[in-house]
Amino acid sequence: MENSASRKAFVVFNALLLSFMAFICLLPILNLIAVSFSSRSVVEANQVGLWPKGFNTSSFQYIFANPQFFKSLWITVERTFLGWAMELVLTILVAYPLSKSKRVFRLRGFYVWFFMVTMVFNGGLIPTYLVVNELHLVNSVWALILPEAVAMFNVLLMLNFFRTIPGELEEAALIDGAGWLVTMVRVYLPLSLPSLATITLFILVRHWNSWFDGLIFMNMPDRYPLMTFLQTMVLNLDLSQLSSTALANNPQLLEITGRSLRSAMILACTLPILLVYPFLQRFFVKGMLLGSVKG
Amino acid sequence: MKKRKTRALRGSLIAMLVLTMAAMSACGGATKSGQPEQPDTGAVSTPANDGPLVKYEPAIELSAMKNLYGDERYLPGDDLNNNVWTRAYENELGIKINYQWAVAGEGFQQKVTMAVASDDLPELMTLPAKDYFTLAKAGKLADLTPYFDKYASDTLKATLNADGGNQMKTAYVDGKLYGIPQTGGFDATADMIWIRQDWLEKLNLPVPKTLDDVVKIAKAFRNEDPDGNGIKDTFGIGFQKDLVSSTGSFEGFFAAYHAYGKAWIRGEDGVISYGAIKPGMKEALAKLRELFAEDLIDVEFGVKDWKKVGEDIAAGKVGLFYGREGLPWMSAKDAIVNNPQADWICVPIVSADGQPAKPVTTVTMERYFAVRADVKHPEALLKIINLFQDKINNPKTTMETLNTFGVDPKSGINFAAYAFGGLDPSEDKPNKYFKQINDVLQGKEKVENIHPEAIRYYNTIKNYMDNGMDKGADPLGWNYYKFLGPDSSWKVIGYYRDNQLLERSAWFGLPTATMGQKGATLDKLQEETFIKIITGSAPVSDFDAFVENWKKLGGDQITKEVNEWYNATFEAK
Repeated sequence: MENSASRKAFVVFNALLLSFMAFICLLPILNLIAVSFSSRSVVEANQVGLWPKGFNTSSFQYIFANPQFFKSLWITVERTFLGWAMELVLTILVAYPLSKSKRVFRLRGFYVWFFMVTMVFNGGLIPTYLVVNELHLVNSVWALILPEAVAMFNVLLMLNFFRTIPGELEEAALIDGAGWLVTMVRVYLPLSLPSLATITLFILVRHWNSWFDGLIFMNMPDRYPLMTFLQTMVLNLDLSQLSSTALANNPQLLEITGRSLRSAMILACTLPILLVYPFLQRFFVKGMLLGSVKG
Repeated sequence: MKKRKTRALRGSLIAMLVLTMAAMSACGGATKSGQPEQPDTGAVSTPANDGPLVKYEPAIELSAMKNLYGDERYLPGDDLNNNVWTRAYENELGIKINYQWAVAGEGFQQKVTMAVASDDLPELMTLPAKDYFTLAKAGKLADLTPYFDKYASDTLKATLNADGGNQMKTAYVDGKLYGIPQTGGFDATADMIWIRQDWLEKLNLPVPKTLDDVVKIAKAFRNEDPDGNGIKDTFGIGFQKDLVSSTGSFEGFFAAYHAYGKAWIRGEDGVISYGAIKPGMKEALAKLRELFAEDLIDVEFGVKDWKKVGEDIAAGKVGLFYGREGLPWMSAKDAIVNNPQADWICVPIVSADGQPAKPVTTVTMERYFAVRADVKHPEALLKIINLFQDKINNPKTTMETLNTFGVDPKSGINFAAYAFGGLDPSEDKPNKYFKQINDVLQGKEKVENIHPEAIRYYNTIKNYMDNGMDKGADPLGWNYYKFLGPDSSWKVIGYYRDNQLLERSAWFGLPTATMGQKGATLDKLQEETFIKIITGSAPVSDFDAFVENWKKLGGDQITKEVNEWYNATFEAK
């Protein structure tokens, strides 16, 4: 059966189909790269396909000449790293007890409800801002980290993964004299690397990509994380909003409203997070529990 | 027994949780711990000869907020709270401005909403129109009426009066002045016809004088291969999907039939009515339907916005369209850079009958500058705005001042963007510069006597003309030449002005109550009907049904409100 003709046909067809779909996903990014290296007027005439026309790097020079880009990059790295560390620890600490049965953890029901409420309801924009403001977190990097430090979705993910780990392993650890904390750290966590990698990815991508909290909680543009900076650059600078007298006064604005600069911005801001994927790849391994419980 | 107890406990805990959350969100507004006490500025003596630019001794301190362009750059060591303008406010006026927050673009409205909701308003404010009126009515803003005459400098008064004072009048709430509007220019929104001169010459066509000429040119541009590449890839006339916009606009075409897509027109009798339900509109749509049927309009126009049409223009596929004065800065320039053979002219819009066509103009009242009610020196706002007028718009200003406080020619940084309440006499500025520059070019005026900003533009234009008007080598020179030179878009606007051809939209205020509720539905109805008629998927007679529906679905009520607004704003005083 493994080598039957129909099987082979299926494999070939499958590979072709998937490659084709991957290629379709790649096309916009290729176009983005081509546009970012092309000259402004050719781009504005929509004549750039997958290869740059009028090759130049002025867009990238412009971006890297702006000190704000690096300030924002640093804030994003800071929030991503701190946010990741904090959220990972909190998620594990919440998920582990909740993965236990009610017999072991008596208040489990209450806590499940407690967390479920946060999943369904939230305070809304203005109350959230008021809370952050009254806590004097506005303008601080913690305003970007604390309000979403425990994402219930990730907790559910971890919780369900913990449940798939055979209870016998826990029993064995307890019989050997380990406490709950030791069991969690020494038995559960090493076995949960795939799910830890998954939520790590979720957290990193979310922190890297979120821009709205930066806009709301940061008072000055020099405190903006990268994506808020990108958002103000890409969406706000629109020729239609600039009067021609403003342009006559400052013709440099013409250059920065071009699509090639925007594409270059998008590229420069998203590339770092794309590089995370290959490094997390090796944790997505199956079959780690194979053979741990016999009989 | 035990089980019931835990359940009761759980129930009460959840109830407590919910209550706490409710209380937290409800208290938000009430728990504000009082504004930080004002530094006691009562000690500042008001000198007897206090005037528009007199310094405070000792200095006063004011918190402020700012909306930004989005591309602010600073000299090394400077930032928003320490730049050429904040230093000038401190040294020349004795006012220390302390920006609490600053934001660009749409985030600005968000931040204002937050500040209003948390009652955390800075002392000097830049407010979106809606919030300005809300706060003024709530008594949160200082009344500037007693200070305006004494403290507004002559230059500021001239700036605010550039449009005849119409925009200034919108700032009054119940007869009192609570803020200074950020004024815009009506004239710059007038449509004109942009044509590829090189195509006209190639096909031996005259400059259009009537709508029939325009149609003739459109036919030739579509069918006679003006770009000479042997492929039928050019469109007759460029239009885009929205009824009002800059490039590929319908307004200039509608105006040929004395109707308007989105404007409010005040008739001879003083009654304001909506331009799109005028009888001429039916003919205009019928004509467009004809053009569409003859394949002169891009079949995809219904899904193209002005940027997409701009791409066609830049790519050399469109050589005739209605647009505003700014085209030399936009797609028309890209077309030149891509193909230096291309040449553009702009001409006044044309009429379908003997009556002259009048392009419609409008402004949007976006922002007002205001002071918080509890500030001891509300006139400080006027002094701050005066300083900008004194440095930038004063006819006696020097090139050096302009380089220091306006655009720095070396770094290209626009320092004027860091001023608080930077106002331009937008209505007059390009008109005046056009006149000054061309007077100098014709030898009627000496270059030293014109405004330094105009001198800059003059130099670029002169340089372009002296070097043989080589578009390919100096596209920016072409740019200024077409913008303010002897053969420019502002020449067309000057023609409109001299012949009283500009039709100002009578309404340009905050959306009225019914507009807020039903405006979006009505706009959609209008756009769908119009596009269906043009593309031939609905008969022209549908226009009559549209007018009926428009009136019934709230149009009549909106018309009434617009008239009331106009009378209250302009007639009562």
